[in-house]
Amino acid sequence: MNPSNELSQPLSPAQTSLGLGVWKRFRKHPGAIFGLIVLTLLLALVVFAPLTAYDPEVSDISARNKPPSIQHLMGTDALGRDLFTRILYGGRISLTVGIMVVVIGLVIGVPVGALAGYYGGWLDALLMRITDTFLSLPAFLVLILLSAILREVELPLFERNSVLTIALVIGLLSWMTFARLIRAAFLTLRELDFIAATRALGGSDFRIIVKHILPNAIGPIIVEATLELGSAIIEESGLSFLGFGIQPPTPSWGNLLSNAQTHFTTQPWLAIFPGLMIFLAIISVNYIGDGLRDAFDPYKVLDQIGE
Amino acid sequence: MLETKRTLIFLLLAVTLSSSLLGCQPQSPANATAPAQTSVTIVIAEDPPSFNPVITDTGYDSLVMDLVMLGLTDIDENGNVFPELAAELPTLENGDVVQDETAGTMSVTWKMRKDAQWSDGTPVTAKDVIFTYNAILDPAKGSWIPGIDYIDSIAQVDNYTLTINYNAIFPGYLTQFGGEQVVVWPAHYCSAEQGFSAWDCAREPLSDGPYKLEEWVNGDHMTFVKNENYFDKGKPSIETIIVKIIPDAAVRKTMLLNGDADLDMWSSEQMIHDLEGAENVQVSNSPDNRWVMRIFFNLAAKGATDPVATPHPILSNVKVRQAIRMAIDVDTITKEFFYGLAKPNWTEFFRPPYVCDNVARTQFDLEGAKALLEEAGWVDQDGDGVRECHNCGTAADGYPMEMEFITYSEYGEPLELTQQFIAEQLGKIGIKLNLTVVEGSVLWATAADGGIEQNGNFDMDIWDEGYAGIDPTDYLWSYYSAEAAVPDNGYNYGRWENPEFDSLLDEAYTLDTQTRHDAFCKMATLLDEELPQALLFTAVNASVHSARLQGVKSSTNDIITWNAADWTLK
Repeated sequence: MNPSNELSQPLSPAQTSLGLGVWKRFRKHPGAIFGLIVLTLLLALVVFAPLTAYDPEVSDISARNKPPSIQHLMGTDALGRDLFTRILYGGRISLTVGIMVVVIGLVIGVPVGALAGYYGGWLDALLMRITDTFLSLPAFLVLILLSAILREVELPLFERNSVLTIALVIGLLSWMTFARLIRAAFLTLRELDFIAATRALGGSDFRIIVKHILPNAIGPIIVEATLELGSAIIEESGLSFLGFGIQPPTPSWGNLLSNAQTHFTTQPWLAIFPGLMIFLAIISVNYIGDGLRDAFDPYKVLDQIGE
Repeated sequence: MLETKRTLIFLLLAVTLSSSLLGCQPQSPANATAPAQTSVTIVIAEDPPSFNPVITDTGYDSLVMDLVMLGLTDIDENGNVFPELAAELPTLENGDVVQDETAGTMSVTWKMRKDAQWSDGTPVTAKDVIFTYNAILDPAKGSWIPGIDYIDSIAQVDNYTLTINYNAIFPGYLTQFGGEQVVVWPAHYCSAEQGFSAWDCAREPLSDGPYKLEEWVNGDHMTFVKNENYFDKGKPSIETIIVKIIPDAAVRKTMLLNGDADLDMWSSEQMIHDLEGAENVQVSNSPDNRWVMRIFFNLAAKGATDPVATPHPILSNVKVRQAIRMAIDVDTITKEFFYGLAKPNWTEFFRPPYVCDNVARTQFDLEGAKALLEEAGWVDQDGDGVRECHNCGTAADGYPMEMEFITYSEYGEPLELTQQFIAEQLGKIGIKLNLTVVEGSVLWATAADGGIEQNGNFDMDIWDEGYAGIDPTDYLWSYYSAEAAVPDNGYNYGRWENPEFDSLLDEAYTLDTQTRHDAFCKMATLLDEELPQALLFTAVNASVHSARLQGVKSSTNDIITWNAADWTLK
C-alpha cells in the first residue's frame, strides 16, 4: 500500500461508488451469499404462506400428532393442524417482531450512543445514566406491569396482543446494548486523526457523526442487530406465558417451539422444525451481518483500492 | 513454545470441564439423606410454603401436613368421616349433637381420645382444639375456615371433652376441625402472639401424626421419620418418607420409571397416559373425581360488577349461554385431549353423598345452537362469519359477537388444546373468541391486586373447580350466592344473582340429609336452566406410585397422604 501508487492511479467509477464497492466486497463473502439466499427463501416462503393447502388455525381431530409425510411435510400438531403451514404463518409474526425490535433498538440506541460518545461530558453522563436506568429495570416485572396496564387501558394503535405492541415493548427494553456499543465505538473513533482533519476542514458535527464515524462503527452495530433479531424471536414466546405475547391459536416460531417442549421425545418434529427455522433465520442474518461488516470495513476498502 | 502453551490451555480446559461435569451429576439419595431401609420417596413440584394449608393452600402444604398432624376427624376415599383425635363421631343419634329447632341453633360435644400425644410427650387435649379455634378467629392474625362464623362459643368440659355451641345449624360440623386443610395445633408449642397466619410452628411443626419432620432442606427435600408417640402403636410400617422437590414433570416421570421415586401427587393426564403399561408403576384413581372443568360466564359487562345496571352485552341472555354449551363437543375433548381419563359431567351434584340425576345432559348440536342464537337476536347479516346483534335486547344493533376467552397456563396442554378447540367450534356458530392464556396467580388474584376474575375483567373463562370433603354448602355459597357476587367477598365471578337459589341454599343448612338432598337437586335444575357456569367434564384425580408401595388411595376428599400411616412396602 503505497500512497504514491494510490495517487498515481485514477479511481475507477466502481471504486468511487460506495454502494457498488460494498456489493463487490459483499459478494466475495461465501457465507454472506449463503445467508442472503436462505433469508430470501425464508421471506419468500413466509410471504407466500397462503398458497399452502391448509388453514393454520383449523384443527383436524382425525389427523392429530402425525409425523412428517407427503400430505403434511412437517407433520401435524396436537390439534391435527399442518405444522408446515403454521410455521410459515408463524414466520410472518416472528420475523416481523424481530425486525421491528431491531429497528426500534437502532432508532433509539444509535442516536443515544452516538451523541454520548461524540460529545462526552455532561451529555454523556446524562444519556448513560438513562441507559443504566433502563438496564437496571427487571424486564420481566416491567412486562407484567405493562401487560396489566394494557389490559385496563385501551389505546387506539396498541392493541394488547398486537405485533406492534409486542415489538414496541421488547424494543423499548432492548435498545441499551446498541447505545453502549455505539458509544464505545465513538469514544475510540472521535480521537482518530481523520476526524481531527475533517473538523479542521470545517466539517459540521452532524456531518462528522453521520458521514465519518458512523460508517466506521457499522461492525458492532450489525453484529448486535443480528443477535437482537434472534433474541427478540425467543422473547416474544416468553411473553405469551404472561398472557401478553402472540396468543393461541395464532402461531409464532417462539410459541410453536415452547409448546413442543413436553413432546420432544414422542413428537420430535414439533420442536425440530420451528427450531430449525429460528436457527436458519438467525444464522443467515448473522452471515449477512458478517459479510456487511467486512464490506464496510475501512481497512478492507483500502486493501481493495490498493490491489 | 506456542505448542506447549496450547497443550497447557487444553489440559486446563479439560480439567475444568470434567470437574464441572462431575459436579453436575445427580447425587445419590444415600449421600443426600441416608434413608433407612424402609423408605419411600414422594416427588412434588415445589416446596410446601408451610404445614398450614388454611393459610397457604397450595396442596403441597396439605401433603406434608397430613404426614405429621391430625384433626378431630378425616374423610376416607368413599366420603365416610372417621375419627382421628376424636374418640367417636358426635351425632344426633348418640346425643352428642343437640338441635334447638325453634331457635335454629345446635351444640356439638366432642369426646377426644386419651392416648394421643404430641411428639414431645405432651398429651393432645381439648385445650389444643380451643387454642386452634381462637387462633383462627383472631381478627388480626387469624384466618377463616368454613362455618367458623356459626360458632358462638366453645366450652371445655374436661381435658378430653369440649362442646361447640353454634348460632345456626351447620351441617359441615363433622369435618370443621379436620379434613384436607384443618388440624389441631399444639397450644403449648405454637405462639399465640405470632398468630395463626404467621406462626413458626407451621414450618417446624410438632407432630401428633404418624410421622415427624426430621429435616427440611428448602428447594431440595424434606425427611420425615416415624413418630414413636403416634397413638396407633403398630403404625406406620414404613420408617422414613422423603419428599423431594422435582419441578419438572418429565424428571418426576423418569424417576418413577427408574424406581428412584415412589409417588407423584396430582399426576397429570399426560403422565398417566405415558406410564400406562409400565411394570413398576401403578395408578391410583379416586373413586370419584372432584375437579369439574367449566366455563365461567360473566353476566355483567367486562370490568363492571353489577349485572343489572351493566349487563353483559352478549352473555347476559341465557339463550346465548345455552347455545355455547350446546356447541361444545365434550366427548371429543375428553377422548382426544384428556386421553379418555376425563368424564363428561354437567352438574355440581355428581358425587356421593349428594348425587342428583334429575338433570339431563345437553347433547352436542351445532344446528340447535345456531337456532338458539337466532332466537336470541344474534344474526350474521354482513356475512363476515361473526354474528351481530339485531334486536338482541342486550346490546346495540350491529354489536359483534366477539369475546375474550381465558384459561390458565399451569394446567398445561390438555386445557390449552381444549380452549382452542372450543373457540374453533364456537367460531362455526358465528361466535368469535380471542384467546388468552394467563398464569393462575394473575387470573385469581384478589380484586385489590388486580385479579382478572374478582374484578370481572373477563367474558368467558375455562378452568377446573370443585369442593373438597363431603359438604358442598359453603362451596355453593361462595360460587353462586348473591352475597358472594361482591368482589373479594366470594368467587361468584360471573355475578349471577338468583333469590330462589339463595333460599334453597338457606334450606340446605340443616342436619336432615333428605331435606339437604332435595334442596341440592332443586339447585341442580336451577343451575342447569340458568347456566351461570357451563359444566363440561371432570378431570382426572389420580396419583402414580411405584408397584412396591401398597395402600395408596387417591381420594377426592383429601390429599394423597391422608392414609400414609397405612402404607406398606411389598
